[in-house]
Amino acid sequence: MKKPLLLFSFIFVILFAITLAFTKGDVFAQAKKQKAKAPSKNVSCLSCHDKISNVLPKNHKPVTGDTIASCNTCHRPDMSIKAEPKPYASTIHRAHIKEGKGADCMICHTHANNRFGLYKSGVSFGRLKKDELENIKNIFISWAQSKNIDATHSKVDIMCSSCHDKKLPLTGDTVENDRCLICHGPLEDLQKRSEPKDFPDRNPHKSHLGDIACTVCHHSHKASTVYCLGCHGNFKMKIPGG
Amino acid sequence: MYLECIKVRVNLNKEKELKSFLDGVFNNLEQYGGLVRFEFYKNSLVPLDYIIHLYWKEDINITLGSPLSYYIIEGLQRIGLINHTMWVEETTIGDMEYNKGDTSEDTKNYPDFKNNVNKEETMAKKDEIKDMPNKITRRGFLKAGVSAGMLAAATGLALDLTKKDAEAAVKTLPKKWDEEIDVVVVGSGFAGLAAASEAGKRGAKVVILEKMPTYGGNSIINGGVYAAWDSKLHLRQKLNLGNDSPKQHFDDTLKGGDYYNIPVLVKNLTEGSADALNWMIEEGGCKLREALTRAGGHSAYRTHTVAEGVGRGFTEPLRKIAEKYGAKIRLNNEITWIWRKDTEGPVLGVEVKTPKGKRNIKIKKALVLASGGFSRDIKMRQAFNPSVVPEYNSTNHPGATGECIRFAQAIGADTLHMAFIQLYPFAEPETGILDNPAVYPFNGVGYGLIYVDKNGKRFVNELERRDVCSMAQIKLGQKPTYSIFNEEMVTKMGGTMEEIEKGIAKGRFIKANTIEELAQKLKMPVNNLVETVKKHNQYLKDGKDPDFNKPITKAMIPLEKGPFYAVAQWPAVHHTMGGIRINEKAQVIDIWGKVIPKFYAAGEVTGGVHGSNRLGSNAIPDCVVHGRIAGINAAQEKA
Repeated sequence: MKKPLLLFSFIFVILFAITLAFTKGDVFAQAKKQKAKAPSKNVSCLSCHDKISNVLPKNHKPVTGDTIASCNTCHRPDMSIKAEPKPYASTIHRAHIKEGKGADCMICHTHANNRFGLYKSGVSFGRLKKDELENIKNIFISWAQSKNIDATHSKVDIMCSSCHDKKLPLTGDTVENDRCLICHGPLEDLQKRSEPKDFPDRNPHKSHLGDIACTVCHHSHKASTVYCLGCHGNFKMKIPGG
Repeated sequence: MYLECIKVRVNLNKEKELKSFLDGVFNNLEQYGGLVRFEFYKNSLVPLDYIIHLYWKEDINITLGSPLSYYIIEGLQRIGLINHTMWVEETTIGDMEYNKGDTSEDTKNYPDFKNNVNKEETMAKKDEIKDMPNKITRRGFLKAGVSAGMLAAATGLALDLTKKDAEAAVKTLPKKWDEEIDVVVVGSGFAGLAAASEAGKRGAKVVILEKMPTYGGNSIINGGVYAAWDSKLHLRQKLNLGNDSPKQHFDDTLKGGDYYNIPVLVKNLTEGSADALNWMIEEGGCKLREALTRAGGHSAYRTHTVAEGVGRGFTEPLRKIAEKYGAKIRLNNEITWIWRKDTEGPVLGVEVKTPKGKRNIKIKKALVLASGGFSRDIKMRQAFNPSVVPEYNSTNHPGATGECIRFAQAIGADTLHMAFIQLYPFAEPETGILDNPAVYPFNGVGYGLIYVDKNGKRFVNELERRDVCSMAQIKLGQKPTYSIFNEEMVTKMGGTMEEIEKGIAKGRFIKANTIEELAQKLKMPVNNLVETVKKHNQYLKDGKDPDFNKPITKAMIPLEKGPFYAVAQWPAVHHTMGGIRINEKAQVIDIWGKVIPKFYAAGEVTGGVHGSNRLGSNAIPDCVVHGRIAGINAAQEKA
C-alpha cells in the first residue's frame, strides 16, 4: 500500500514543479509585453462618446484627436499644491466616475515603474505602489459619490492636493489643521461661527481638550464623528457636510 | 562504567507517595549487584520533573536497561508517572564506590527533598555532561515514553509556560523590527508625560504612544485637584489652615485605603508630592489657585486646585516639559502586544496599530506603561467586581479600557486589588461626567457644604470617604442628591464666580437668595430643607454633629447668608484602584515576585497605591510622582 502512494506523490511533485516553471515563464513574458506597451490603455474617447463635442462645455473650442492628450495640450496638469478649487480636473474626474460603476484610471493615466502619470503629458505625479493606486481609486469614488466630507469638497471642485499638500496621499495620511484653516479659518472666526446660541460653552471648535486636530471629528473618507459625544452623551451636536 | 538515566515527570500532589516509594527502593538497593551509585535530582525549574542516575559496573545489558530501572518505572507508574525517558550511556565519571546506604549524602539523603538542595541541578547542566563526547562512547535509548500515551490521556496535559517553546503557543516574536526607541511610554496622561519628561531629560529618546486621537487621556478631564502637604507657595501656612506633614498624609492614605495599600508606594506619593508639584510649577509654568481645601478622608487642608480648575492645568505643563526634553507624542497609536521572549528576559518591544498599519518597535532601554485604568471597560470591571453593574455611568473618557493590563499579564506581570473600583459620588447625574460643577461637592465639604436627598435631609457625614458617600446615596434609592452651599464658600473652596455663572447658564448650578426659594426650585419639601440647614448651622456653632458625627472645623461656614447654590450629583465609576504590581522603583513585578527587566508602570494602570479606596486628590500626585520615578529609572537602563 505504501509504495504506490509514495510513487504517486513523487509524480505529483514533479508535475507541480513543471507547471510552476511554465507559469513563471509566462508571467515574465506578460510583464515584458506590458512594459513595452506602457500600462495606460490609451482608449479613445470615442469608444464611449459619439462625438467629443457632445461632452464639451458650450463655447469650447473644437477639439482634434480622440484621447486625453487632446485635452492636455491646453489643460496642463495642475501640479500646484494650492488649496483652491480646480474646476477642470474636478469636472473631468467626477464625470468619469459613474455612479455605481467605479472608475478606470488607466484610460487616461499611466502607471509605469510605480510612477503615476498622465498619458502623453510628460508629467509624473509621483511614486505610487499598486495597492496604493487601488486605494486612491477607491477614495476617488468616495470623493465623487459618498456622503462624506470628500464629496462635499468635490462639489466645490476641491481635489486631493487641496488638502494633501505635499505629495500623492498614502493610506493613513492625515491633514494638518493649518491646511484646513486656509479655507475654513482663521480659527477665531470659525469658533465664532460655531458657537451654540443656547450653550456658548459647548463650542466644538473651542474644546477643553486644547488644540486638537480637526481630523479628530472630521473624517474625509468615512463618516465624521462628534468626539464630544464620547463623554457628553446628552449634547445635541451634528457635523454638517458629512 | 555505565550511567543509566531515567527522566521522569510525575503527577501533581504525589510527592509524598514518591518519597515513600523511593525510600523503599533505597532500602533494597543492596540486592542489585553492580550498582555503584544512585543519584536523584529534582529539576529546579520544573518542580515535578526528576532525573535518576544509576551508575553500574560493566555488567548490565545496555540495550535493555537494568532490572532496577524497570522496577522503578513500574513503581512510579502506580503513583502517577506521566512521562519518562530512559537511556544508558558509557561514562567515566562517577567512579565512586557504592557504599551500603550508611552515611554518604549521595545516597542516604536522596529522598529527602529539602536536604537535597545541593543536588538540584538543572536539566541543562545534566545534558551538558551527557553530551560531552570524550566521556560518552555509546548511548542506547531504551524506552522512550512507553507510558506516555496511556497516562497522559488519563491525567491531561498542562500548559507549561516555563518551557522554552511556550511562546509558540501564544504569539511568535517579530522577525524584524520596524524601529528602535530608547524609552517607549504608553499613554499621555499625568504619569506618561511625567515619565517621558524625566527620561527625556536624561538623554533618552522617548516616544509616547497614545491610542486616542487627542492627548491627555483621562488626566486632561480630571478634576484638577492635587494633594500635597506643602508646596513652594505654602498656601496652608499663608491661609492659616493648621498643620500637616508627609507622615499625616501617609497615615490618611493608608486609613482611607483600609490598609490594603502597599506602604512603600504610599511613602513615594506622600513624600514626593510636594516636590512634584514644585517641579510642575517651576519647569512647566503650572499655576495654582490661592485656596486649599480639606477633602473627604483627609485630616488636613492639603488639596490644591489648579488655576484652570481641570486636569488640563497639569497636563499642559507636563506636556511642555516632556516636549522640551524631546519626547514625541504619537496619537492614534495603540499598542496591541508587549513582546517578551521568555519568563526570565526583559521586555523586548511593542506591537503598535498605527494609521499606517502595524509596526513593531524594539525597545532599547525600557517600556513605561502609563495607560490608565479600566473604568470604561464594563466587561473587565464586572469580571472583578460584579456589583459595578453596566448601568453605572462613568466619569472617564472612552479610552479608559483595560487591554494594556491584559498585555502585561500575558507576559507574566502580576496584578492586585482588581476588585477595588471607586465611584465618584458627585458626578453629573445624567451622563456621569465630572464637569467643573461636579468638583464643588468634593471641594466644599471642608467649608461647610452639605449633601441633601430629594426630601431635603442630610444622609451622610460629608467628610466621609468616597465609597461611603457613594453607597449612602445608592442606599437612598432616589436619584439624584444635591450639594448645598453659599457664595461665601466659593472662593475658599477653590472655586470662582465665573465658574458659578457658567454653571448656572448650563443649568448645572441652581441659584436662590433664600433656602426656601432654593427648596422650591429643587422641588423639595421646603420645611425639610429649612429645618436641615438650621440644624446644621447649629451643629457648626456647637462644634459637633450628633446626626452623622462629622468632625466640625473652624473653617466651616454656616449656611446663613445667601445667595445659595445647589448642584445635583450621583455616583459614577471613577477610578480603578487595582492594576499592575510595581515595586518602589516603579518596576513591574511578575507573578513569581521578580522584577520584569526593562518594564515600568505608573499611574492608574498600577495597583496598590490607594488600597481599597483612593482618597480624592491623591491620584495626580500618585501619577506624577511614580511617573517621574519610572522615567528616571527607565533612562538609566542599559540600551
